[in-house]
Amino acid sequence: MTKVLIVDDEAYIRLLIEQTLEDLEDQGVEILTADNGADALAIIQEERPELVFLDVMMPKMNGFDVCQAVKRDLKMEDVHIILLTAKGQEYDKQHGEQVGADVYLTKPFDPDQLLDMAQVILKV
Amino acid sequence: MIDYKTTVTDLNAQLEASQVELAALRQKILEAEILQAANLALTQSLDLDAILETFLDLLYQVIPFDSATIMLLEDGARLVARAVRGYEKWCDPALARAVSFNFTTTPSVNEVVSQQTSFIIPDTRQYPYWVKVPSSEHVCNWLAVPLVVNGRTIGIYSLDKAEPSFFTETHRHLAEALAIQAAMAIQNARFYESELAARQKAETQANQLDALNRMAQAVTSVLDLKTILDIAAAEIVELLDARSCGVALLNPDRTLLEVVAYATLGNEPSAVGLVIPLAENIATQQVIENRQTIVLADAQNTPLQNDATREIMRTRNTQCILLMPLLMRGEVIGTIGPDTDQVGRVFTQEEVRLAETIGSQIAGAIDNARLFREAREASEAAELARAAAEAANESKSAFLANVSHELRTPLTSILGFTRIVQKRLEERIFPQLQAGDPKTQRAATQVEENLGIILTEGQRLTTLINNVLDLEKIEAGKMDWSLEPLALAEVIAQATAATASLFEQKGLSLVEELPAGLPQVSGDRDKLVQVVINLISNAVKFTDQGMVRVRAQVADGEIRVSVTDQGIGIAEADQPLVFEKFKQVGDTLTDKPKGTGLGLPICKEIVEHHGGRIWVESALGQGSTFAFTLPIDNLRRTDD
Repeated sequence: MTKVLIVDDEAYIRLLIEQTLEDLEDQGVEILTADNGADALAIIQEERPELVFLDVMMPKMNGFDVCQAVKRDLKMEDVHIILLTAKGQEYDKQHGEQVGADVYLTKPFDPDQLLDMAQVILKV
Repeated sequence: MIDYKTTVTDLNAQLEASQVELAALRQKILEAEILQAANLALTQSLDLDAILETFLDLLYQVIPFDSATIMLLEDGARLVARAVRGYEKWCDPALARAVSFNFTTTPSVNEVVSQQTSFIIPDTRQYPYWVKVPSSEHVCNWLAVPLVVNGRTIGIYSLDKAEPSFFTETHRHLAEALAIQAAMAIQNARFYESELAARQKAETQANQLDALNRMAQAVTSVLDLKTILDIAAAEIVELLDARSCGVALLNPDRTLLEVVAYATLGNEPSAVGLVIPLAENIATQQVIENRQTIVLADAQNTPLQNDATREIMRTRNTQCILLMPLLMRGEVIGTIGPDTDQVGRVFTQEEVRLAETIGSQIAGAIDNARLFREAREASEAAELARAAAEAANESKSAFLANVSHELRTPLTSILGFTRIVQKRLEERIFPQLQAGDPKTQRAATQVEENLGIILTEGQRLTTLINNVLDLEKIEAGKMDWSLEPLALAEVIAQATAATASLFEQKGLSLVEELPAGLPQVSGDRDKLVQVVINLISNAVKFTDQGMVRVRAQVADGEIRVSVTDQGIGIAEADQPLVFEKFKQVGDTLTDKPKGTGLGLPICKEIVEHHGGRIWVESALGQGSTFAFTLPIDNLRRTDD
């Protein structure tokens, strides 16, 4: 089963992304959520989701570190990661690339764009 | 048979000869012993006077003279008495000590000096050239011996006897032998004396120089006047060999002196805090008014100071005090006063001069220290201001980054959910509405419009946040610029494409005047596109009907891009304000701002970063033209 993980410490953002991706559930995609980096890393290792929407600024473990662990340390190349940042600074973009993120989105993002990306990556 | 008589005579003769030989031998031994003793005695000291006295002692032991004089040559021809002995019996010894004459004027002496031979006058009464002087009245028998070193006569010594023919050849022989050793010792002593004097002089000068340097160094490294004066006082005590030194400053109305710095070698209490009024203290007044150094040799009794001041001198056991003006920038600001506590110890003229030299050094040092302090304070203030500005800038950057983050999160929810609501309504809910119910239809239309406004305004807020961050990054020099050769036509095309929907919405037309073969520029594509978009969207914003014209042309080695609208125009007085942050033209209370107030300031920063200029040409009611220039990149043409 195709899985998508949404990671953000803000409940409304998680809800927003969940609703945006709602239609995917009809196509058999399972949506998982986590509200911190440490939980996210555990879920990624256990569930091996195809796609992760990953917030950067989070308690316990930030998005960069989670991304680094997944892509660089665990070599889970088949897990696509879209970093979501509220900072919108060049440094973040570069840092995101360094830790192996596939896509980098700045908040506020367009839900339609987010859905399009998910469909392309999940090939649904 | 044996001639006993002859034999006895011979033996006697032999015995006699032996005895003579023995006596001669004894004499030789004695002489050798004397010479050895002389050698020892004369090398004991390097002090000339001590050597001459020792020499006279030795001489008297072997040649019992009545009086004797040692004279040394000075200036080549003058013999000067340096040591005398035995004259008190005949005359005042001072007369003998005062003897000084040109040796060529006296034949006997001339022969001793010039021929370097000893000379005996058995009886002066029989000698035609005897020159009588007051101290030589008693002299009857005279023996003179040259003092020669390395072939050069350095003086002579003469022995006198009040009886004739006393001095024998043996005496002469001994006197000559002793003269050799004495001359050597005298020469050594004189050499040592001059060497010592030179060395002492050099040492004194070196010490003074050292102290002055030390003072100059010390005062340039300290900033407050009192520390400088403390150092100065200590150095003056050392240099002048004074008991103590106080430095006093004038009060603002120049009526009192207060001691502010003090140094001493003794253990009397510090004079700091002592107040001396100028009134009645004539010497002090003169020092201050005439900038003159005054030495009060009898400080406790001088009529030039008042009773109270004399009492202070008595209390402190000050014997002599030197009063010198203390200058700053040519103004007398106080006095410097070294003193002595030994009766009879009065500062010499040389010491006064030295004190004045130090005084001028101190004045210079005070001025330097003041200039140094002022310069340092100024640069410190500038550095503080710079650091404060930098810190303020840093905290502003951090603040903006945080604010941006905090604003974006709720904005994401607002915009995202609005978009979802919009879609749900359009796709699922509106189609379900009862057709034909005008109220419901109107409400649906209003909801749709309202959602559109929420989205537009939310996007405006997003743009504002992005603009604030952009501007902040540019101003803080943290913006990343990617410069590349660009065809400006492409930049304009990208901008017009991005703004096409705005023209559609307002029913305006876009007129482009772009000549073919525009030269290339070197620039950051995205940011230049941002500039053109900004100018075009502004033009659309302020134009209600008609057209917006985008024109590019080459002039004076630059490309000039202009965007002209047919809007309300901008009053001349307001024109410079449009490029300032948050300075939208017009009354912000009545006119609703239509932008973020940061678009044009960002355009200005971007254009100027590319080495260009941006400006507006406008008149109220006649539309506006916003134009900017970019330097042409190596005059290359896009169609090359």
